[in-house]
Amino acid sequence: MEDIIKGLSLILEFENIILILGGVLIGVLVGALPGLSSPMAIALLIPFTITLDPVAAIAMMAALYCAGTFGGSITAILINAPGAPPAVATALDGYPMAKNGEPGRALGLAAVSSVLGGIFSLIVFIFAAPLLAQVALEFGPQEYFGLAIFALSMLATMSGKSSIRNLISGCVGVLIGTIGIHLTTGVERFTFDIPELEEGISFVPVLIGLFAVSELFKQSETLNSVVDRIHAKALRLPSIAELKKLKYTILRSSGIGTFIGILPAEGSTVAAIMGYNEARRWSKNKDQFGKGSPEGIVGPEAANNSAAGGAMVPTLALGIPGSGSTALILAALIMHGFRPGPYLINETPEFVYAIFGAMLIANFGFLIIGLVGAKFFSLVAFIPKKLLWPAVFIFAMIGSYSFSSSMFDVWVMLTFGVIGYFMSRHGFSAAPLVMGLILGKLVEESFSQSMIIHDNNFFALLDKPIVVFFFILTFLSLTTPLWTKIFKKN
Amino acid sequence: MNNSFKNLFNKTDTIIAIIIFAMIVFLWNAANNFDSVSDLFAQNIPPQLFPHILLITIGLLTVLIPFEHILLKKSGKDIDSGRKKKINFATYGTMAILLTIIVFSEFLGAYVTIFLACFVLPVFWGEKNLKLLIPYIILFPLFIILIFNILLGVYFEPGILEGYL
Repeated sequence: MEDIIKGLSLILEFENIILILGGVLIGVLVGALPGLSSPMAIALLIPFTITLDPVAAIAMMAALYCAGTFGGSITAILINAPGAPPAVATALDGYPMAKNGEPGRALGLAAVSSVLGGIFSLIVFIFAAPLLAQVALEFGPQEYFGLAIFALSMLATMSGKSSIRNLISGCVGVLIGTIGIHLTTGVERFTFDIPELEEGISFVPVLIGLFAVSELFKQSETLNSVVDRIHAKALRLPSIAELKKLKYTILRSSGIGTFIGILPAEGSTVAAIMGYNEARRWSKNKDQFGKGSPEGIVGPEAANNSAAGGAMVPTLALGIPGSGSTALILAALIMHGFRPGPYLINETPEFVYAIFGAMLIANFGFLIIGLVGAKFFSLVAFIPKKLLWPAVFIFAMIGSYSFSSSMFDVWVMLTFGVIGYFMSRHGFSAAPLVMGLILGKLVEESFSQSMIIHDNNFFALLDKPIVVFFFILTFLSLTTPLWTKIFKKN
Repeated sequence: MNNSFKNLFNKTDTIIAIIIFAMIVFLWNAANNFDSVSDLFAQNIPPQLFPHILLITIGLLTVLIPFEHILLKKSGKDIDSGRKKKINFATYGTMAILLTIIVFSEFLGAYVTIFLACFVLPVFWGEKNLKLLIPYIILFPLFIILIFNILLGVYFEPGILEGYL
């Protein structure tokens, strides 16, 4: 209890509140702008927050993460163009409701269900993270190796069209993580006599290149696209009676979203789609779906926002990111000198509770910002791309350069921007590469330590029941398409 | 070569697989040339072991890529949908402009580079609305300089403006 009060008092400092609200504002803006995404904004924010107090920096990113998920639903509802992938399912009923003359109601339902979903997942987070961390304290290198392999296997289902390509991207990320001096032997690996590579490739320019610059190239293909907008004067909150009718849908979707979020690598988009499908399956008015059903809005919105809180559980308790955005938050934690995982929760619990507080404030923050600024946010999608994307490039360049005042990092950013563009064109997602890059060190360290402990006998790992459990999960995760087919046939 | 055999392979993916294999061979060779250390010092975990495992894994997965389109088609996905359209001139041009801006940025310095990026990219993309463009070219860089250079203290290389600032 003392830690909770300590954490909350940390976050309630005036400067931190301002930064959280700043994060919420950026998050809603970025979410509302098609093409811009929360991971991109977090990647661009990392270098500028590195000089901040760690609590303030991580709180700001966590707030941005929460708000970005909601921001995407504004454009999904008003212009049928989800500002962020998790809002894809919201557009299915949000846009028809707006077209039917109730845009304010659609936005209100989305906002309130997002807040409720977010709070639900935070309650789970506050109880589950310390418990999970307690279990993980017993983990040795072997268990961590098993867990990391399971997390990497989950990349297969992360995003994009192809599981195989996701796994390749993840492995390439881990491989990039091996560049630099090998910690055990001091040998330079893949440095090709370039002095800047001796310390390895830093996360920041890679993240900015993959998320911001590659998106800039993608957007250059559709510079003249025009969208129709439905005018929304204000966001209209649902009545208590309406919420009572929707309570089971919100509760169910929040549960689904939190569970999906906790699974390593499964993000808000999967949660939103599952939330929508389940809302439809349990609905008494199935025929209303696709025509502006309130359940079709609150289902995916509660799910995608609760996934955001859920994803923080493995990120903070195990050091295994639950989504692309939390992978970036994890990178930021590492850059601030933290070791995410059970030690973080056990040694600095107030820090974890401060993040919890930040996310709680962010949830109410985007409700207020949404109430006040719905009209404004519906307009931001109309900022001309030809002016928006040069600005993104400038942020990307300054962000990459300022991190270590090195032009080499700017080149790394551009290189990964080009690589990311061609990867995406050919079905390879950037998010698994980033997860691989961030998990790489843990995978290699735990692998090397396990091999040293067991005298290079890989099969000795199977003596540990937890490792076997993770290997079974890995096998099940990699063979999911097969199981799905068998179940469907039966 | 009969048609059914040809249809087994996706042409673009086969080329991608060949490129990945070429990179694997290159990196495998690079890993073999890492400085050698005694087994005792390396504790039986030589520096190339882990990269080799990763390269093998990537190689095994890459073998599947040329045939993956068959599996994806069965689940209603088209791997070619995102790449059917040729990359347009604007994208190649954007890449070239960014490359040029970065090449010259060290010489020009941060201030000029920011103004240049705000001017060149919108003009290249065909922005003709001068009422938007002119304030953007002037005000946005000033905003960036104010926020990052003056308020946040990010060091901006003066470049050609050295001596004037």
